[in-house]
Amino acid sequence: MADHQDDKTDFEDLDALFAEARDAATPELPEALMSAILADAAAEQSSWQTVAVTARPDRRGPLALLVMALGGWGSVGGLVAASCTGLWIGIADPEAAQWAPGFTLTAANSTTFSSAAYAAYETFDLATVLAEDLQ
Amino acid sequence: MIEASDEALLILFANGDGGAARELTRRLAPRVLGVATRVLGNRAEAEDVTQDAMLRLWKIAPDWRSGEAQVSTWLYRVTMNLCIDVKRKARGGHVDLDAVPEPPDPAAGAAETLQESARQDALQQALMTLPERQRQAVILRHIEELTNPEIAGIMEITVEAVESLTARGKRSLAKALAGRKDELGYQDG
Repeated sequence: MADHQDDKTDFEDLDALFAEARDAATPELPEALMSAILADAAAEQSSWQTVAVTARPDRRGPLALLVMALGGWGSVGGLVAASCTGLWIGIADPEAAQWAPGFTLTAANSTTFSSAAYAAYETFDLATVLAEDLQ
Repeated sequence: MIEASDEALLILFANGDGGAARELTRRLAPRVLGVATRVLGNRAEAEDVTQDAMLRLWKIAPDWRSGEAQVSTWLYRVTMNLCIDVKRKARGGHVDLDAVPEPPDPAAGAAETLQESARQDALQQALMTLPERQRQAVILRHIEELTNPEIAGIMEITVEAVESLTARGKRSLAKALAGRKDELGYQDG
């Protein structure tokens, strides 16, 4: 019983000591330590900025930039295909164009021109037409 | 005016705000210094640990996962681990208790200050006799006044283990200080 009483008193004394320790538990930060911690913080922030700046330059060449501006390689592929088709239609005999896949059907359904009729216009001279209009 | 949380300040810091670093240091570093001084029993080592713990906070800032842990809890955990590292490195050497300065309280009288200082030295000496984990648990519970679940999170153990450590630590401290009551200004009974 006496032991329990002693224990209780010891713990009360200990709690009083803890209370005193709490009052002194948060010391003032020395100025030098504060400066060192803030210098670390600034150095750390600078290191992130250095990484950001060195990562910024775009190493892609002008061709890659052009492709990017046109909407990527998919768009460029479509553009090239359309250009080649137009060029081929332009320099080839129009009749040959009818042999192009898909072209024949469209032409058959939507135009009334025959090769012969088209041939009649081949010799048509723009200057003659203009001259007729002026009369 | 609502004060920004530690986490909000850490995010600001990660976004390049220098003022946030100052505010976080003002709020957290003194607590880290206090607890490290108690755990290590050496002010110079505690200052090194404080700088190191804060540096780790600066480094984690860009990768901080919001809502996962409280900044202060994370910092306590880092501090405790750094203290263990310091003790491991110093194992075999002696602990310099004279290196623990107790700041004088200008409001108290000289005799009272001396008495209080003697009591705190005695407490510190008794704390240093405890095993490392017991000492950490007792300091976090009774001086830092953290809850058992908070301490469990910091020390990465169960709440029951915290209770066991603090109970054993307190008993050992009471025993160590029992014979020094007169010296410390406590009356028997």
